[in-house]
Amino acid sequence: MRIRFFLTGSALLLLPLLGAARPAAPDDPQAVKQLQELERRLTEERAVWSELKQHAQTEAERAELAAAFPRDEFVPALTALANANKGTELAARAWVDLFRISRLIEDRALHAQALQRLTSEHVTSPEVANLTLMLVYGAPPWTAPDGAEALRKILAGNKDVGVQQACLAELALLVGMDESFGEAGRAEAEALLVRIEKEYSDVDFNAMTGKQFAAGARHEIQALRVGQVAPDFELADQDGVRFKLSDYRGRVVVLDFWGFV
Amino acid sequence: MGLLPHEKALVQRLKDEPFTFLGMYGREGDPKEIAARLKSENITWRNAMDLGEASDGTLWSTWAVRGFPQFYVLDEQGVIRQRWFGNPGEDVIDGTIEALMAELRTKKKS
Repeated sequence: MRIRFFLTGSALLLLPLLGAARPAAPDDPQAVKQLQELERRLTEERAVWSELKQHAQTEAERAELAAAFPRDEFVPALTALANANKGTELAARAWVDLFRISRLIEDRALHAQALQRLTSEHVTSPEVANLTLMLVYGAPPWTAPDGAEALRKILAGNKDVGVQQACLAELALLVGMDESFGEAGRAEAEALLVRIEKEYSDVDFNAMTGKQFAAGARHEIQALRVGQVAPDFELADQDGVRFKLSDYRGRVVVLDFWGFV
Repeated sequence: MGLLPHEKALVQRLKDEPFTFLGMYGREGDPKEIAARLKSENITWRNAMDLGEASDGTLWSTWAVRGFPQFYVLDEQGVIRQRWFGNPGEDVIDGTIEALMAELRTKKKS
């Protein structure tokens, strides 16, 4: 269905990046081995964690979980590895691992530091190309300011066309939709959308043209952001009875977009 | 599926309040089978079905749905007050709704 494809486009846009080639192996085989071992352990921990995190439903439970993470096993060792191999692809990988950990345990200082190093020392690395996806999708609200800053730096420093498209699209939606960026964010988003229209007017902006993407994103920013009156709809319910969203004026309404798995 | 017990509790708790929980059912499937499954899972609240032949693409075009679950919380004037991609946590959902219900009660008094 064309329209469906169109609107899932900005997520699809980033998928090719996931398959980006792994960087060439760095010189120091011992460091590589050490990183691989840390990553093996990290994968184990993360598997346990994502399971636990699903069940943590309150602020207190999440904080407790974060405090229980074996931070000392990973953070000092990965930081030391990254510093000892500064500028190499191995260091880039270590910083991405540190970035992931910072998300997991909501360590804001580590999050800022990892992104700062990645976008200043590794901006052209394939590791950074892969990172763009994580900066918006599934990103918790507290990461928005750092995430936007990282996307701006990657946009300025990495000229790969896939990375450029991903950064333009994600940054526009992030600063346009997230209310913490306010009016300035919406102005920045509009400037990015104008750029997308201009640079990718009738050419492939992944599954659509730049013009189509910009139109969809403008609608989203204008109609669906917090503070706007929700667009009305008329649809049938499970019994075939048609109803309108506006039938529910005067009531607090939760719209839950979902489906059986 | 992990969200359903909490959603049922929420709907039950606010059943006498000016509150509506609306499902926006968007996964492909046979509408009759989905309706039957809603019944068997005890999902009593209204679900807008935007499926198959009857679909005008509301979910996907107007609401820019990119994945499930996705939530919008509207106040009594229909203004979007919150939107979440993914499950923000039961405490966040409850806290947001409770704050809006309290706001509505205050408005009604004055």
